[in-house]
Amino acid sequence: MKVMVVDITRCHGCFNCQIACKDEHVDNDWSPYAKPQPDMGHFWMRTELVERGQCPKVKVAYIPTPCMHCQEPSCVKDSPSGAVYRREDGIVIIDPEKSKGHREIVKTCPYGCIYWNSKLKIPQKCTFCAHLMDQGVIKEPRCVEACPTSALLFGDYDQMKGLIAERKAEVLHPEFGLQPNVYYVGLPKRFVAGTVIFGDTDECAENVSVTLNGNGKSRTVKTNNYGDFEFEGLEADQKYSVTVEYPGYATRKIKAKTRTDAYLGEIVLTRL
Amino acid sequence: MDFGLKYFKPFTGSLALRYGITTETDGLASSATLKDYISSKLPINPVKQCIYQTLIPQAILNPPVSWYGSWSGSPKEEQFIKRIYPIPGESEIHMIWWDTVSPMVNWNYTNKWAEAYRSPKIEFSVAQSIMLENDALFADLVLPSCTQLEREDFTYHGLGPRLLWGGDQGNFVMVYMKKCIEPMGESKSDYEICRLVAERLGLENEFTEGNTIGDWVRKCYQRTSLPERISFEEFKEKGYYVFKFPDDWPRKPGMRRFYEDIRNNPLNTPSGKIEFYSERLAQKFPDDNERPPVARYIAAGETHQESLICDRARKYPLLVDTTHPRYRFHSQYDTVSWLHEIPAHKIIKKGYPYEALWMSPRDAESRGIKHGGLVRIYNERGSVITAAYITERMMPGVVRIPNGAGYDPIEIGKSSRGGTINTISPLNTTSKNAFGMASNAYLVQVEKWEEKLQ
Repeated sequence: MKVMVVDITRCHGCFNCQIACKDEHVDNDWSPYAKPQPDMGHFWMRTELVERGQCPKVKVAYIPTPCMHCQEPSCVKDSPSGAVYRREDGIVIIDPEKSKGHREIVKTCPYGCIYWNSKLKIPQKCTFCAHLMDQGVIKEPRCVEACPTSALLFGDYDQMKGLIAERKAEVLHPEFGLQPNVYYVGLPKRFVAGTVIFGDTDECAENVSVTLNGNGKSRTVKTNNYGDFEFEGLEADQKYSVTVEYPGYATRKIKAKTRTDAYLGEIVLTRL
Repeated sequence: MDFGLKYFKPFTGSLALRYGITTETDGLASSATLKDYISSKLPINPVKQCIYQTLIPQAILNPPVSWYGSWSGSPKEEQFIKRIYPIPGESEIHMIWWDTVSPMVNWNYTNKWAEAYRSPKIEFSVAQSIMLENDALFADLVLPSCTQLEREDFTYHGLGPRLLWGGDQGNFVMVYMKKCIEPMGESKSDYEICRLVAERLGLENEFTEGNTIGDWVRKCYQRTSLPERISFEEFKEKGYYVFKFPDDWPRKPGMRRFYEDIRNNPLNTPSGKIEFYSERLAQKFPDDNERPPVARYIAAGETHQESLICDRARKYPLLVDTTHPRYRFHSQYDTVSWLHEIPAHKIIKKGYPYEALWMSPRDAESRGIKHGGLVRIYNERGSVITAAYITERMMPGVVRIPNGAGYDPIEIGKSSRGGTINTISPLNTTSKNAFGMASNAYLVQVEKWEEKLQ
């Protein structure tokens, strides 16, 4: 079974994967795997940009999103018989002949990875470049080959399962229950961050103890030489309380919610 | 060092240098000798006149102009040599021939370049251009040139010269560039264009010396140390040769020799040491407040009123940060549709790829600007139309847009729809004695764009 592992922590958003996919599929007819991709508007490998936080504390992640090649694919289940099929190696293919005219297939994918080709009147998506692998040209899709940072990895599940466990890979939207074969390492969570200043000297407050309580846990960090602190990898939609303490200064308590990432701004400590 | 010289022989024997015939302007800046060239004669430009790149619009519109310096990377002494254009008794420019059509979008104050190009002094202009873009829009005659995929050439990959300066580099690759397809349409390679023009002028043999492109590539090959390693036929067939970086190469980062033995390896400064205070600048330019002997940040000065602390900021309250583009190389590849689909780079509206202007949500909100909405970015030098990309990555008061988006004038000399931000960048250079372009950040205002431009 073929799987892809996407390591978000290694992706710096060069978009080589998105471009390589177009280079492989635009203007090229790989029937019976896929008909040509239109020049623009389709993203069989779509690199999504996620921005978190507020100025000046902002983080950006890029999330390459191909077809998830699910083990329980809703597109196979919900489409006319044979229009979408799953191969023995787990690769899900839309048959360009049998799917013709069936625009409803686009909506069967909750990940939004199927695109409508209005000229050819067919639904289209990522094939994991099965045409290349079947010919033995390359052992991985073009996007993976084009990735300069090894953020995209590809192989048989048995080969990759060690890595998946070791890097604590997850899948997108496990609640859909489709068992995707695309795994993600380092998916952005929520952070709570802030900057501490000594009110009397107006200096960055280094080495201040900051404690985050909530969700049944407690974590403490020290501010760095810019007075910055950060709690990363928090769960979304939780309530937290942040306690800022330093000897000789009044302790501050601040509430934080992780509906979005929370930059608490400048926290000024008052001298006792 | 001997190994290094041999290793990097190719740098003195490429077609690029041969093309350099027409751009070699100054004896001081060039120490090339005949053995460095693959041609039988040393190419020397008989024309002594030249113009500093940032002064071209002024040189055409308001001559005479004078300056110090030659080009970045030239010997320091260049900074103290005064030049003038036109040289008394010599001619002004009558004709422009572009072999690349990007200067106006990548240099200072595009609107001024447009004005200069349209000056009656320019009687005739020719552009060699792959796409009909930028400066080529101003040419009387456009000679369509093909891409590098449609011609043969010799090239190399790797930052070789740094090795000679003591740097650390990786493997080095020499490439026999093969033609993938025949030139599209009526296009021809730049070499072929020059050959045909030379032929009409009765100078074909002077130009080609009887060589085909294949012959030139073979001469390049012979000038390198490739023949000791691979036959020409094999090199051509394989298409490349990798010079592996020697594992036992003594890795000495820049200035290491100076650091290890200052006495015997002095620097080329009056004191032989690193000079934080430049005596030569102090002596030669004692009244230059914008380039003092000690380098420091100067927010504003006699030729620059482009900071938020200046009075002009009342009318133009945003600082535009014009970065280098991430998803093209200056203006190259700006026309590639697949790159237009990268969010944060371009925003496509009604089929037109607008350059993305990054701005903070606070600045956008106070101006009624929505994400993806069209905006006009302007100052007294003109206007540029872009689409707003609202992002927390920008601090309030600062907007960001990279250089190099295609020039698509709405009204020539006033406005561009292509997102060419240099359209409105300052003409003034670093200081009155230093002539680098100073357009990385300057004052603008941004507003929603709906109506036709003024």
